[in-house]
Amino acid sequence: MLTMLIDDNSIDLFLNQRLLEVGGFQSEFITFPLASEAVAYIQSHINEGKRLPQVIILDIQMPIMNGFEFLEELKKMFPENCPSKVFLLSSTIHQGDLKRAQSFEPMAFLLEKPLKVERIKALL
Amino acid sequence: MTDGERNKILIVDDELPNLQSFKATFRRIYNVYTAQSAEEGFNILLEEPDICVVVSDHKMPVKTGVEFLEDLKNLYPEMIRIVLTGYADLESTRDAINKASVYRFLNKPWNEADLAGTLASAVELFQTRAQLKKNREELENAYAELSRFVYSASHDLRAPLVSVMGLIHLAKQDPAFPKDDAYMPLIEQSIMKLDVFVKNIVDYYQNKERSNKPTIVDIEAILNEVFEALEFYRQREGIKRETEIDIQSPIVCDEFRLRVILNNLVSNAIKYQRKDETNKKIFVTIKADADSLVISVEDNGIGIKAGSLNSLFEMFYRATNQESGSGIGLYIVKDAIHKLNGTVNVESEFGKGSKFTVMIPNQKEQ
Repeated sequence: MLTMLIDDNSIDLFLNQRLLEVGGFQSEFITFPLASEAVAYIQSHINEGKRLPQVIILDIQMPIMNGFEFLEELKKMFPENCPSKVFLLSSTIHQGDLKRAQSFEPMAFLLEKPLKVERIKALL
Repeated sequence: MTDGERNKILIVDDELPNLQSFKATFRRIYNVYTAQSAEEGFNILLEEPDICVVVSDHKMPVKTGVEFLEDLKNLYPEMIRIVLTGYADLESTRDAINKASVYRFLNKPWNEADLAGTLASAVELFQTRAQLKKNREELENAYAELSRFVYSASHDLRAPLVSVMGLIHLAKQDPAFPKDDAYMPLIEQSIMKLDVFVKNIVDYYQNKERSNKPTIVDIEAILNEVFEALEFYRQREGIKRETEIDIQSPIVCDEFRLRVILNNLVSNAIKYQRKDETNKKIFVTIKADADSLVISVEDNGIGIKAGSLNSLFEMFYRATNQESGSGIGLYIVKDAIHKLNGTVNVESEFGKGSKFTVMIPNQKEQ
């Protein structure tokens, strides 16, 4: 399994990977501080037929490209049957964000930080 | 005084001498516009939408004054409408009042002093209303700005808090971390208290802002999630949980508010236990039928003094020093219940325990 983590905060990037590892989540990990870099990575892997992440852990509030903008890009690359399941993370769940996230289900789910491994396992 | 500063008044009358006499009388006080028909009047209003008072003769060909003012009421509702009439039959009077909502009814030929007084008070009314509207808009803007600020501030406050909570969680599982460390649990406790407070602020603002969005709710699942989030405290304090659920009819309610209510009542029941009680417990009952939803949360904790009961739901009121609350939780509960048209009742005996009972009308499916 390959898991992609995207967060502009390097502490959270480290933290979420460690929480998954300690929680017994068997996977390799790749991390991106910028969502745009993650988009480029996925695009190049599609072009070269390389493997894609099954799980993407995605922060919402990020500069340059935020979590929702990343999801729009992902949807463009996979109009249907996206091979990745995305978990949007937010420290405060605003009703507007929740609604927006629900429009991406079942491709993406919104979860409140801190990341809970059991929740992710249950949704996979 | 320049024209720009004078208040604008429009007079409509099919008889030119009347317009001339009106203008001659009032041109020094107001910026007077004249029109000989309703149609001409509309054209002037298109050019001058900040006219504040419109005076119209009633008896005019094509369109009567009352009909003209009635159209005006819909197009420019804020303008003050005055009708002038030489004769007043019952029907036109009734229409002027009921349909055109005129401010005053004046006789023709007019008495100059009467007309001057009426115009002055009409302009004053217009200005007062405009000022009120402006004040309200300013208040609404300020409030919206404050809400946005509080939301983004609380988000920015919570983000690093959550990182710290995660790091503590990791540290405790790290083999290199000393098992008997006394500092980390204290750090964790403080962080969690701060987190509860930040979340309360978010709940407070969301509760203030959002309109009710009733959906069919799975209250048992909400209750389980609420307990799950508080599991750490509950187990540490050794509190037993008992639940009795009796749902005869689907519950239709705003889920966000229901969650806020349950979360605060359950977390209070956990926080305000007696330290020396050996059989600590929380008893939650949920009963629903087609008409209402009744939730009670009962504990055998420290209880509330009779003198504190009245102030319990006030913002920032705290009835005890046990636990470091902020006194905002029950205020939000009361507010959320109020927005759901429900009621809350508290029974408590100091030193024995408390029981909060919430009754909310079960809303009909939309």
